[in-house]
Amino acid sequence: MRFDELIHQPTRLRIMAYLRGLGTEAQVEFGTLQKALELTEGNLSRHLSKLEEAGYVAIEKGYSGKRPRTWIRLTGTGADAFDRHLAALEALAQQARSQRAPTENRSREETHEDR
Amino acid sequence: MHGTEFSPEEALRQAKALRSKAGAPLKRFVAQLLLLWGAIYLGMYGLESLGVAQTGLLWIPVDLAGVALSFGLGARLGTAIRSPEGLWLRRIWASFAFLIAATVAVLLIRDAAGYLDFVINLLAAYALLLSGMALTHHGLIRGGLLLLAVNAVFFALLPSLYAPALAVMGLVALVAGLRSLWRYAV
Repeated sequence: MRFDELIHQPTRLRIMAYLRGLGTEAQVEFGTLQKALELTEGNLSRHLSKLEEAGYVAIEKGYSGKRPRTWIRLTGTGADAFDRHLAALEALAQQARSQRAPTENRSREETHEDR
Repeated sequence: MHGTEFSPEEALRQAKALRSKAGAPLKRFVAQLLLLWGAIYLGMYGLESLGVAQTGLLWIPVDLAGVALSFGLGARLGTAIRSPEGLWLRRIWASFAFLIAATVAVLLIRDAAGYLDFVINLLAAYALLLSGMALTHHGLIRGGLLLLAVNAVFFALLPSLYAPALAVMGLVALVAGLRSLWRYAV
């Protein structure tokens, strides 16, 4: 279980989550990803570069007819990193819930006693 | 500072939602196909069962238009997402098109046009079944099996109700397509 600082950034977490849903063999076109995540072109490019540097995504440039296209794919390393990060988030969320529970129980008991 | 506090639960919820959203374009594509072919079956077999028209020759342009539209929708999906599942769908339906062309030619040459509907629907059911397996889409698998059964039972035992039964199958596909499209709308 490892909290990944690179994926922790909210936009990158969203990019990685979307790519994880596609799996490591599928490629998504840049414009489709941009539309799905509602990001600007520059913002998406910047975050993808960082993820590519870390080896989490693979970026392939090509053509569809005469149109240039950029294809993005999650790598195996990226998938593992995302899964570990999600497990760390699950653990944190669980911890937060269990910390909240005694306080909530106490306040419920106090309300009950007040009646 | 309020509003920027990190919440692991919220981050987790967003990540899970986006992970599911990724499969939506492929599911939307399947829904569009169900809608299209459901409407074609309902319309054509519906007309036949009501005795409004003899649909024999009318099937050719309708089928060709349906195939062209289906491949157009597939090509549009291919410019957005390239996935092994998408590649399998393309292979299944391209081979289906070849099989249909060969079947129609052979049956017409042998003067056995009476079996056309049965054989085409049998192949369509098999292609649906294969697509469902390729996409791990249980609805498509169930639909393929249902079409297989309805096609066989009504052709063999209740030929007079064959057209209405296939029209109902079209309606089922249409409703399933609409429901799925509503669910995976952009």
